[in-house]
Order: sequence, then structure tokens, then C-alpha cells
Amino acid sequence: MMLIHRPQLIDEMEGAARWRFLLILMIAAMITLVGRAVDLQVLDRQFLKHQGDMRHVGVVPVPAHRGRIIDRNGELLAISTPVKSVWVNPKELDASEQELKALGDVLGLSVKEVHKRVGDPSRGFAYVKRRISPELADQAIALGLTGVYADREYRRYYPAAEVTSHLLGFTNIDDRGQEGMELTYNDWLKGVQGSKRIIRDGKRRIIEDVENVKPPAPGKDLVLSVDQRLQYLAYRELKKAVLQHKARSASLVLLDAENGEVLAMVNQPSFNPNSRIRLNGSVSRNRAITDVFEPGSTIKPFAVACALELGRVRPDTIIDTTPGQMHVGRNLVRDVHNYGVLDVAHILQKSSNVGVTKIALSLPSSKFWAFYNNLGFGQPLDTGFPGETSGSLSAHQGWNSFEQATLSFGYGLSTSTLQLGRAYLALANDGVMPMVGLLKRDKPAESHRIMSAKTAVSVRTMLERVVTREGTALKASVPGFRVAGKTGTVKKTGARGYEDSIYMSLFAGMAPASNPKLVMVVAIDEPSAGEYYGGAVAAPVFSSVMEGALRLLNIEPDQEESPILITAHQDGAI
Amino acid sequence: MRRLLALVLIVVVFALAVVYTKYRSRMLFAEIQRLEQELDAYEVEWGQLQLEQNTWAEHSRIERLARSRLGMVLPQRELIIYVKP
Repeated sequence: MMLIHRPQLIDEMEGAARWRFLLILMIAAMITLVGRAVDLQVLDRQFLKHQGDMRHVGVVPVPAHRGRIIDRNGELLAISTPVKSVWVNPKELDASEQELKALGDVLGLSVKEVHKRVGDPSRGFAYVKRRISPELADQAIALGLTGVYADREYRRYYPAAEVTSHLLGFTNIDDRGQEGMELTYNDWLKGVQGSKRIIRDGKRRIIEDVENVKPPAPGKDLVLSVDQRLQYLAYRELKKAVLQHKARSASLVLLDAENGEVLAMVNQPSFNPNSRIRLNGSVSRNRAITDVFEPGSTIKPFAVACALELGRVRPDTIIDTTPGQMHVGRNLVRDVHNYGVLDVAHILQKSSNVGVTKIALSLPSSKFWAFYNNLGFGQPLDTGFPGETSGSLSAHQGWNSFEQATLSFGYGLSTSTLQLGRAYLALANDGVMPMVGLLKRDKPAESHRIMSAKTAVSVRTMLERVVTREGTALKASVPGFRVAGKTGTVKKTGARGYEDSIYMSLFAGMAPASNPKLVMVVAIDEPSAGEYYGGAVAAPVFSSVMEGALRLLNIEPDQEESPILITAHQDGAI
Repeated sequence: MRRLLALVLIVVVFALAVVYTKYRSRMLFAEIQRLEQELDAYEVEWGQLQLEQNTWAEHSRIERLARSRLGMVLPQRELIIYVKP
């Protein structure tokens, strides 16, 4: 029995040792596990959680709405509407030929085009079609192909298209301003992108929006000073004139005489900002602000105003312009005809170069220069418009007498259409020149007195006589209104100095002359259909646009009605 | 012992409250999402309506219709009588 029991005892003893060993092993394993768990859950928690989030939680941008651009009356000039862009992840895309064809059909693409866009499997992102209507994009998504997504974007529309294209400019495909007001006021118009947190699944598809991190802030609306109605009218008339006279280009600006706001600004040639396929600088430039020319005779009123202001002449001072030409230094100044003896008013009416030269040469050059300089020639416009030019006016220290003479009839200095318009504001506004601006103003603009009210009124009265049968610009007249203005026919410079048969036709004027409300400058470059005088090419545009503008703005006629009433009665009697 | 029980009870209540709030916030967020989509749709429609209104009210079109369909003309200067206040 003992023999039998003994080994059992030993077995039990051995069993207990094993048991203990196992127990220790298991406890050690458990401690390891718990330790690891503590390590993961407590010590490394931050790191691991972050890594996990990186794989599942993402922050995606939410595009913001770009502000609208509206005209002074609230008419829409540019608006962003939501559209969708369809894109694929070629790595995930696993679609049969038929499915790709269906996708192409919905988006209006051929199978070949679809292949070209999504064919490269090494890429993780490829646009299939950008900026399509949301419904269309939803249809494409509804096909249920893996790896096909749609994102929201905005597309800019310009309802007035060509009519406002130069002024507004345009945005690029990422809704950022590239030209014009869109560029100048990009920061004002653009919204601030928001962001939201999303959860992705293992295939990086978005399965849930978790929260808005930052809501998108929409951009602000921009109110321009232009009046859409006048803009349209000016565009139509200018285009008509360019076609009729086979001109190379043209610009027109219409300004509010009292506070310098730009009411219309159009150029030819133009472009459609909604579909710009072939676009180059020659059509997209806002010539009225970016291009300069020599103002020619349109500057003469200022030479006369300077002489009046300095008391060198009076409106009835007699000046002899015979024989219609004169030597200044080694150069010759010529008139079209020999006008004989003229007073100052008639010098402007007939646009006599000799007469105005005689007046200018009687002025001290520093005063003459200061007067032009104050009128803003060679000075920036400060509109902030991209590509804005200041024109040029040379310093008077270097002037010889011929240079002083040429400045009096508008050569040797350069100006943009808008700059010339700004200078005319001083005449229209009784000697006070307001700053010009492209945004609607709530309060009167900063302005400077350039000349006395007496001088301004006196020059204006003289300019009224230009728009008569005896003057150079009868065609600028507007029925019912008194119009004051000045024509200009400028020889352009070519490779060999001033060309004989290339001209720029100008007209600058204001109405109603008794108390001007509107100032307009029309510049038509290289009319080549025969006529080229400012009074024949530019003045009719002034007349038709001004007539419409005065009517649209409800401005009261200031012309004596009697002569017209009499004719009307006579007609009635007969 | 009783205090311990009370504490456990409070913890359970708060745990449930957390779950509930989380659930509520999920629901509300889903609601926001839905409303945002609705807003988007309206935004699209509004933009299109603005464009449409603009197209219909285009000056060239109004002028053409006024002249052709309504037979309107610009009155001559002689035909206008100005009423002065």
C-alpha cells in the first residue's frame, strides 16, 4: 500500500509545482496584457487617438459665396450661383465600359473623353467635369459608381455680358478676381471659406458629417456707381459708331458732374465674360482707364481757362490769327483755314491752333504747367483699377516755346479718356473738380477748386458756341438742352512721327450747359470709313447717348422752348 | 455602502445623459445638414431666378418689345409739355 501511495504523493508534489508554475505564467501574462492595455489606453492614448483620427476624421473646406456686384440702382451685374464639379478617384474607380459610357452620357462627354480624364490610375484625383448644374451632377452621382464624387463650387455669371465686361473684369475658375473691379475689390467680394469635420470609411469615402468647424462667411455685395441703363445705351451707340466708321477701338465715359461718379464706361471691342474662349489684352482692356492718347483740341478750353484765370485775356479780347499759320521757334503752327481776326470765344468755336498758341505763349510756363497739373493731367486717377494710367505731362522747366504752344492745342501730353473727363468736371462744376470714382457714393466726394466759378462759367458759355451751326460740333446738339463741348481730331503717331491719315476723333462735353449734370467724353480711334473729324464721328455718339441719359435721369431741359414751339404751331396750322 | 450605491447610481444617470445628449446632437446635426441642403437648393433656384429676371428685363428686349409689340415711340421734343412745379 505504501508503495502504491508513495508515487502518488510525489505526483501530487510535482503537480503542485506545475500548478504554481502555470499560475505564475498566467499572472505574468495577465500583467503583461494589463500593462500593454494601460500603455495603449493611458500612456500612448493621445498619439494613438490622433493616428486613428488621421485615418478616419478629416476636415474639408466649405466654399463661401462670392458677393454680388450691383449697379447704383440695385440691378444685377455679377452673381455667383452654386454649381457642382464631378470628380473621380481613379484608384478607386472600378467601372465597366458601359458604366463609363453612362457617366459620359449624363455629363455630355464621349467615352474617349471620359477615359482621357479618368484613365491614369496612379492619380488620386481627376476632374471629370467642372461647374455643371447641380441637377446634372446629382444624376451622375446617382449612377452609383464607386470613386465618383461631386463637390460644390460657385460659378460667376454676368447678366449684362459685353456691356459691362471691361469694367467688371472677371474671375478665374477658382472664383478669384482676375481683372477689373473683380480684381480690385477681390478681398471685399470674396467670402471666407468655412470648414467641416467629416468621418471617412476605410475606402476614404465620406460617410458622415460630424460638425461644422467654421461656417463659411459669404462675401459682401459691391455697389458700383454705374447705371446699367446708361451703360447699355452707351455701349449700343458706341458699337454702332465703331461699325459705321470702321474704327479700330473706342471708349466712352459718362460722369456725374457734381460728385464725379462714373455713370457709364464702355469700350470697343468688347468680349463676353461668360464664355471667354479667345481672350487677349486687346479686347479685355478697359481702354477708358488704361490707354492714353494725346487729347488734341479738346484741351484748348483749359489753355483759355488758364489765361482767363490769370487775367491775361478776356472773352472778348481780339486776337489776329492771320494768315492762319505762325512760326514758333523753328516749327510751324497751322490752322485748317485762315480765320482772320477772332475773339477768344471764336478761337474756341473755330478751334484755331494759331489763336490758342498766341494765348498760351503769353502765359508764364510755371503757371500754365501748374494749371494743367491741377486738372489732373499726368496725375493718377486713384480709382484703384488694375492697369490704371496717369498719362503724362512733362515738367515745365524743360519747355521751350514750341512745347508750350503744343500743350495748348493738346500735343506733347497724354491722357486717358477718364482723365480727360475728370478735367472737364472742373468746367462743368463751376471750377471745382471732384475725385472720380467707380463706386456709388453716399457723401460728396473730395474735391478741389481749380479755377474761379467766373472762369468756368465763361469757358462753358464759349463751349456752347462750339455746338452750333458756326462751330465744329453741331452734331453734338441735343434737342431741348443746351450743350457745351469741344471736338478734337488728333493725328496719331506712327513709326515715322505723326502720320498723315491716322486720326483719333474726340468729343468732350457736358449738358445741360446752364447747370451741367453730366459730363461725357467719347474717343474713337482710327475711324477709317472716310470721315475722321471729331465733330463728325464722335459728336453724334455724344448727342445720342446724352439725349437718352438726360431723359432717363429726368433732367429738366434748359433750352428756350419758344422757337421750337413756334415751328410746332406752324406745322399744326398748315 | 449606501453612499457607494448612490454614487454608482449618479454615475449611471450621467452616463445615460451623455449618451442622450450625444444622440440629440447627432440628430440635430443631421437636421442641420438636411436644412443646409435645402438652403443650397433654394440658393441655386434664387440665383437662377435672378438671372432669369435679368434676362427678361434686359433693356434691349424691353425696348424691342415696346417698339414692336406695343408700338411705342420716343416722343419728339415738340410733343413733350413740361409741367413746372
